[in-house]
Amino acid sequence: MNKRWMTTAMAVTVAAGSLAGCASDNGKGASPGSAGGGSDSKPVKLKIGIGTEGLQYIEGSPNINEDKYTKKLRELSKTDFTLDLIPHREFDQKLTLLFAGGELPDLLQTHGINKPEVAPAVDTGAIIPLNDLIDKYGPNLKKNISKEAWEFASVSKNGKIYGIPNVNATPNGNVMMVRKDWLDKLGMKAPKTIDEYIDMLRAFRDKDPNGNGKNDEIPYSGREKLAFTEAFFGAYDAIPVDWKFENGELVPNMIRPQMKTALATYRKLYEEKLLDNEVFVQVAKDWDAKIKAKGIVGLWTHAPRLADKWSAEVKTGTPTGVVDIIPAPTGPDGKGGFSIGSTVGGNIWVIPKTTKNPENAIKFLDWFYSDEAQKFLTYGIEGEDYTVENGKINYKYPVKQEDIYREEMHLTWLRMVGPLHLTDTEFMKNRPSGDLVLKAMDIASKEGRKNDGLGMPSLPTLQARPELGRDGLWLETAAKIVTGKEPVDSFDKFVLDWKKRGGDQVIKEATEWYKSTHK
Amino acid sequence: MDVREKRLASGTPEPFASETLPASADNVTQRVGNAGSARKPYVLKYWQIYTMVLPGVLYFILFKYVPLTGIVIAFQDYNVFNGITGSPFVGFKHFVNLFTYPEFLRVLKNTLLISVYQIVFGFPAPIVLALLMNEVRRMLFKRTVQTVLYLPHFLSWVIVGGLVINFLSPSSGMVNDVLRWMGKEPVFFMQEPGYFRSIVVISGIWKEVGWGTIIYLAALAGINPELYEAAEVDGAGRMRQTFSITLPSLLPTIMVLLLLRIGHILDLGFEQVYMLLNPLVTSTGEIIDTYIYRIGLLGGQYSYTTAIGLFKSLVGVILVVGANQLSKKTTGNSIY
Repeated sequence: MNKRWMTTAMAVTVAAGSLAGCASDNGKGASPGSAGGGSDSKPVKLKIGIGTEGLQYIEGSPNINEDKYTKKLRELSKTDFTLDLIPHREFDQKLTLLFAGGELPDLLQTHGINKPEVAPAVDTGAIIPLNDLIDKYGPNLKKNISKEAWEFASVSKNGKIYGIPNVNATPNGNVMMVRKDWLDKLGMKAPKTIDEYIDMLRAFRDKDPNGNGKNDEIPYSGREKLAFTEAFFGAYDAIPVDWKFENGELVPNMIRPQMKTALATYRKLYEEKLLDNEVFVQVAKDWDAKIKAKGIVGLWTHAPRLADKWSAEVKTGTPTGVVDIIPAPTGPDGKGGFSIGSTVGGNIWVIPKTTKNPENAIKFLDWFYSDEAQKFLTYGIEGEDYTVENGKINYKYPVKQEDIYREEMHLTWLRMVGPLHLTDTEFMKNRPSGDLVLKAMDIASKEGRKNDGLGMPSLPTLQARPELGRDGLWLETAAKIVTGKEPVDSFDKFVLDWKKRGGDQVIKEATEWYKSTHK
Repeated sequence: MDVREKRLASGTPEPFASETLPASADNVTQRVGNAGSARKPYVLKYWQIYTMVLPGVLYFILFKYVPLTGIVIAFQDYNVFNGITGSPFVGFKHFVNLFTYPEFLRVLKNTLLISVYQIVFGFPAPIVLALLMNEVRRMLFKRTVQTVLYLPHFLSWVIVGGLVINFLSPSSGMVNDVLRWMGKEPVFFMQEPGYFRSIVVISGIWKEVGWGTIIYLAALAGINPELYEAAEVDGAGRMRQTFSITLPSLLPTIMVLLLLRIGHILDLGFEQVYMLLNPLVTSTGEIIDTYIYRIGLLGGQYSYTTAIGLFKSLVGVILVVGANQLSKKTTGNSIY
């Protein structure tokens, strides 16, 4: 318990080991420098249910509530909160169990109020509408979150706001990342079309770009269920989970003819070993290790906001490794890229009916927009993560893998709502590979495929027959076609089967939703 | 057959075991029984014994019988927010839904096949191992081997599943390293539907075989040594002794465990298969448990999955009762 707290320029002093004790009843951020000064009232208590996001630092923490950043946030926000972690892998399931059990936290993270596990909670009144509370206690929330975000399907329903969204850095959440040092070594330019991409992947396979004399390179790798391998689906405008409105119907990309062409391409990639042949059984950590620790992957797909992290982590395995962001392969229509989502982030905060003082939760989230909160979330703890010289912040940008993981804690994870660190130009400018992130964001904003089913609630038939979704029949068929176990033409059989089993009904429901919302 | 051994074997105490109380327990009752008060009701007379059984009975009432009321949601359109009392009844809708599900037969077939393989190959494995260990005369060696064999039981399937996948991985797996060294192409074991069931059964044996030997070794220790001495005088060799004395003495234990195992023919243990499953092997690998997980828990359809669970239990009960009667008639051994 005896952590060394460095006395800082801040006026706040903290006794070693005590929880944040500077009390003042309002959760609103006091301006930096005016500490609460220990009035007698107790700080408000708040129980927060929050997902681990699969982050190593969070999942590896012995007790997240005793973590130094958690304590610091308690102290700064003057809110005595406890964090209840929800494991990333079973997030949806655990949420259902929470609702069923009735033991709900005061403030709960969800992935949207239109998700199947949350929607019934809205309908039965287990989650409260927040309009009045935000008007009264959340001026910063109201001011900083855009009208579109408040109206988005994962945030509000029938004009009532049920959730407080975080922001997405870019609506398009994925870009292509490539080993630039490999390209340079082979004297190649960044590819554009599908064919150029395939040429590049072949060169990666055959010409030993990592120079170890072994034929161990994996040109393009991804994760189980074809996750993070959707570049070529995007080129054919057939991102599996998305929808297209055509001929008066909203149809899933899974059954469109473009999908067949895309699958044929993937089959070729797999056969020629350009696509990692373990892609169907590979869990996240193996994929991670191949790219970072082993450094044998040439091309992969991930979030533009994490480009700097990838760049730093590839260097931990290959000190000479250089990561670059390139535009995604373009298909027959000259366009490409991944699914364009919404500006609303994936985490929506809701307040259950059981919460005694919901205004405390709103005040707490509202405080995240204060300068004090922003400074802490971006730069961490003074004396540990940064020092101040002549009024200038001198931030220790992390280099080692464990420090990168640690930085994520305050940089992204504790940032429950509010502007992202990416918008802090001063911070990004001095960041190693900060320009790479900006480049990634720029590319992400210029490409991508529109999803006509954006914001659609989960359809009744899809809930009753989950096998009609992406990870059901489609994935099984795609896996068999890609690995060459079945001919490409078996796709036609799948489409007929899918329709017969309730797919027609799914299209009908989707079309009704589309027409009722896009007038 | 000792009650305690039975409990060990099944993992749960059996409420019916009291009927087959061994002789030793009778001695106890005579000692604690108050001989002078023969008029007292039985329960009061042997209150100590009843007190001892109380925790077990309470456990069953609280954790096994009370939750049975939850079965009612199999006949409702249950919704967690309305609760059991507020959800509408729909009769057998979910059962119809299950039997008309196009993949149901496939899932049932996989479950039964893997289960049968496990009984055919997995069930005898610890018996054979126990017999082999029984022949080892060096105590130190025997202890060491036992300890090593128990170890995998204490690892979760999450870990063992990861080990299996890595072990068979085409890029970094030991098996494929050997194949490459022999000049063969690496094999994608985890992606071939044909290999999946074997992998499940073999990895299951590897993990549990050591643990399974405990009960048999205990039974072996209880065999009267005079039998062996007599057999030796009659000129029986080690093989002969094994088949004429050891195995017949083990038979009651084996039969009881087999009967209990048959009742679980439709539960293979979700964790193991779930860890190893991927979209390429669902055709041979998806079992009822993983199906329940995919449809019910991920889709939030509790009524439907309860219906499947009820179906599983019914099949289990019918099989246990049937096998028990059969065993009673043929071998004279039974669990009740």
